[in-house]
Amino acid sequence: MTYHDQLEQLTIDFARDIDIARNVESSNQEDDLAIKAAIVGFSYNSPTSDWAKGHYDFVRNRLEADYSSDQLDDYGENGENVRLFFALAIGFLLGLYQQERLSDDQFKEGEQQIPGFTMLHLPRLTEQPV
Amino acid sequence: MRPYDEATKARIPVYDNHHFDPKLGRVDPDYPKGPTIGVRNDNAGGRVPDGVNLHTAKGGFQTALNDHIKKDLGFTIKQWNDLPDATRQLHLRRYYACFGIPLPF
Repeated sequence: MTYHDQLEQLTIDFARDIDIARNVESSNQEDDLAIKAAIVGFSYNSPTSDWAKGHYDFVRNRLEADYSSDQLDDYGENGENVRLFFALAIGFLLGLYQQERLSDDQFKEGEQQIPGFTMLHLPRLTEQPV
Repeated sequence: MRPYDEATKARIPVYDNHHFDPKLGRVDPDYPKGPTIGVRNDNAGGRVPDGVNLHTAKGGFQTALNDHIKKDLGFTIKQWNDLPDATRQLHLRRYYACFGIPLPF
């Protein structure tokens, strides 16, 4: 199964994974639900003990660039789902990258593909609140 | 076989290459070699009156893609959601092909 197939599976298990993220315990106050979703995605391929500040900073920067509250308004009442799915998916790729199962180029390409993947599956991802 | 970079050799007019922000910012030694995305830059040199320069616009790839869907294709998000899967896929593959990025979904 390629990582593209696995991303597809993430859209199917999205609500379940966000439920898991809600139960992630973190001593870091800045770990909101999106960051916890990224940690859940990361844990698909790497132990959570490997999650580091660099991963947090990377995800936070991406979330602030493309998934701020005003940008999510465009997606309708469940727009927050788009932010959470991005976090889950980029965390998933970071977990693969951490295990050196993706090269630098593959990671960059995967990161660029997430928006397209999101917009392809947007009806499914935003059909109900998670 | 059609190479992935073929589309990048026949760029959409007024689109210029723009580097993605690297992990370490512009001080990253890999910055000049990093991936690029085509962005509208039709106000550079006054090429188009009231043109748009997205080099300095807020956001990354998701924002650029959404702008393409709304401004270039003319869809609202609701209209986009109502399209058949195959149509959305076709639009997305065309968009990504402009940047030489495969979209194998």
